[in-house]
Amino acid sequence: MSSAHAIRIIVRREVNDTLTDWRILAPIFILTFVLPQLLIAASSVVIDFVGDRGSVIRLIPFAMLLVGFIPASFSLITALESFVGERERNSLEALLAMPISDNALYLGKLLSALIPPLLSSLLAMTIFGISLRIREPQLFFLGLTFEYLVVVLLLILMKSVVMVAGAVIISSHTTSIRAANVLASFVLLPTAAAIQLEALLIIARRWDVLWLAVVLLLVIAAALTRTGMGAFNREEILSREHEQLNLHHLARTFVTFVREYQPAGTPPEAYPGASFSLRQFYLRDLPALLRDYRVPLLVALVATVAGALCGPFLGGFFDRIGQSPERVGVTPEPNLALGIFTGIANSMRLLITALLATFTFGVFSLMVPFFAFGGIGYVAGALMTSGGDWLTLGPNSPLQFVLGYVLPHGIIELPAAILGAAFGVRIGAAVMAPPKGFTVGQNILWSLAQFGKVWLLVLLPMFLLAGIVQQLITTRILAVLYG
Amino acid sequence: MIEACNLHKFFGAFHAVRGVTLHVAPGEVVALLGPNGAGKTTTVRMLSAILRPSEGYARVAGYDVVEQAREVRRVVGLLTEFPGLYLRMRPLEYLCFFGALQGMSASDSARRAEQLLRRFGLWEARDKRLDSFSKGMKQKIALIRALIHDPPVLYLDEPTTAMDPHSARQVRDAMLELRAAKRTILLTTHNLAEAEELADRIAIIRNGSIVAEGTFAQLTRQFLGAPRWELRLGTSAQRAVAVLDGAVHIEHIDGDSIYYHTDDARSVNPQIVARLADAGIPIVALNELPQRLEDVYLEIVAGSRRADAASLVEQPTQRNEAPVTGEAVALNVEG
Repeated sequence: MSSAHAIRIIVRREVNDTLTDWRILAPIFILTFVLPQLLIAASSVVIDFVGDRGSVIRLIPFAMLLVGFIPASFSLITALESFVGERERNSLEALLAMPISDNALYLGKLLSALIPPLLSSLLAMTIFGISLRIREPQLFFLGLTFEYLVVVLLLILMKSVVMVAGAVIISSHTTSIRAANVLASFVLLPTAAAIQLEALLIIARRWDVLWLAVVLLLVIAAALTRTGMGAFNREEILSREHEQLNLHHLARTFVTFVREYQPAGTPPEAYPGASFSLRQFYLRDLPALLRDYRVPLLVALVATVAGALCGPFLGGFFDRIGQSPERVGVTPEPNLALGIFTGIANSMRLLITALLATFTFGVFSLMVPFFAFGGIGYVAGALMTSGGDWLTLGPNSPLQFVLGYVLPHGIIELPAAILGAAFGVRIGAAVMAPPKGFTVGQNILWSLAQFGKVWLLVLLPMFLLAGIVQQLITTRILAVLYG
Repeated sequence: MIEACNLHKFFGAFHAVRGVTLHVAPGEVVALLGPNGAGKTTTVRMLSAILRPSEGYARVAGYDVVEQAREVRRVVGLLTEFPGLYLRMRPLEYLCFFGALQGMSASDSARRAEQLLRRFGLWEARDKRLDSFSKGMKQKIALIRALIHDPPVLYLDEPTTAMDPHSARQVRDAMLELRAAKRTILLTTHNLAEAEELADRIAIIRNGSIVAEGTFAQLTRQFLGAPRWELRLGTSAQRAVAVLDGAVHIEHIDGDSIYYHTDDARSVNPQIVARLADAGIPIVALNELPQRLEDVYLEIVAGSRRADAASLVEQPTQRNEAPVTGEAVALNVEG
């Protein structure tokens, strides 16, 4: 049986199940058929009360977003019911015993959690639109544009996917609906904040920014869906029955991963138990890790190039943090202590962003090379705009800027930033798809252990060295170049 | 048909299954007995290709449970510990849903569902929603779900739990039919009488390890010794002790009864009867006392506990490390 066929079977059953559950059906019915009429009636009253037709027209698109979003928000409930509820009612194991893949089961449940609320949302918006067209035609034509309708539909779709995928991740960490409802606030609160921002943008008619919001939500939805796929598998689901927080075991596993390198997916019990050796780390483990981290390194490189390209467009930001073209030509005095401080500060920054990467799918880590190269791109771009050229040296030359301000210590510092970002990205990706043989928890511990080793034994020395070079060598080169 | 070799399962720090080795021949019924938390369900889940073994390997109907997990799930019918039905569905649509997931056509699964619903006396209730079913009826539906695709291998976890005696009998009869039809069955149960009635072989699992395995007769012989006999006399048993001296090793005397074990009843019992007749002691009855699986089970589990306690006393510093092995327990129990 193909996965598509299995998904269809699951979707059919689950959608039927939702459509026979009056606890879900009744509120959806009210929100779909009653809420649009109420909002239109309220609009008429508000027009009479405020006496300002223009203001109300600006609110109409927001009302439509509300009409569409509220029924769609039921996707969170249907998802929790489908994933955690099934586990709580002990009906999941029978499904897990079927000859279908984890992904087919996950996608079947994801789609069935989405379809009824989204259809209801679409229906509610259609009813709102038709009713508005009939009852208040001028409000319809002045308030709703085709572009707006497309944007709002996509926003609702993306937010629903985000909520459902978020619900799956929540469900993978709980065994009861009650606990899942409490954890659901982690999805609901950001979604509510997003709605408020969207409301402001809709009222301001900033469709361009709303398109960006759609893209951002698409990225988040994709990341959460991928994470959900990683979390929703037979091994993870059934292992959770035996799960208990065992800090001693966590620490032991972490130390195992630190002590020696084995590829991700090698279970801790399969480690031979060798002790840590610096020689082995530099000669064997680090090259093997770099080979393993090819994809995160590529992602970090893309962020680096994007930073350099985007730098000129983010000028205001870099001005504020002191990376301004006006500072080109300033030659600071050498200061060893400042160099050490800079090295420590840079490595701490990388450490913090890597830890935050766990919660941001690695995005925070990518910010380090992005902004580092962004600043260089900005200053170099500004020098070019003011007449500098890449082929000649001089105070306005971007080439001289790169040779003087960037290269001497940057040759150490920038690769360290890219390497650190790659290891941070791997931490962020650890929650999404654990390799075969690892649980999500083991995958996070493994990537944290590798980051810890590399941070302490590679990045910290590199940043310290770069800081010292910056103070002792770069300053002298600058003095020669800029006088 | 089922071949498990040195299966281990870790859930983080918890070692749930410790080196289970089990072979079940085609058409054989094996009962897996053990206290709650012994590792029965985890073992069954590994053999159903729902959980991956941490170590060791298993093959079911020739398929590897890790590499060919889907094929394993196709040839296995699993009755889970809890029925876990979709309560808003009706029996036919529920069973057809699982039939479809097993790759059956709609007509085939409907036909098979009807046949099984009739077999288990649920055809009349086919139009009712499952939430109106009694516990026993729900359990039967779960059993039918496991049988819907007519699998050659069945794992039945507590199949008669919550059933009234009549329903339980129906299910046991169905299992006897399945055994006659050469289905391979791995049965986990707390109902020892049921295991005794249905199983060709019994494996007892404790703390994740199989501590005893064999036919009922083999286990009885191993753990309870030779068959036990009760000799009731028409007078005080004390009179007979001297007469029987050397003929049999008396276990104990209770009023007018003498209890003894013997492997060789054919030669020992006539000798006893002859001696008592010669001494003029009247015999009222001579019976072989039934040995129940419950006694075997309790002896094994109690023996394992004694072994655990002994290992804790002997190795106080290593109590978190050394698992008790099946062999060690068996030896300890025998001793």
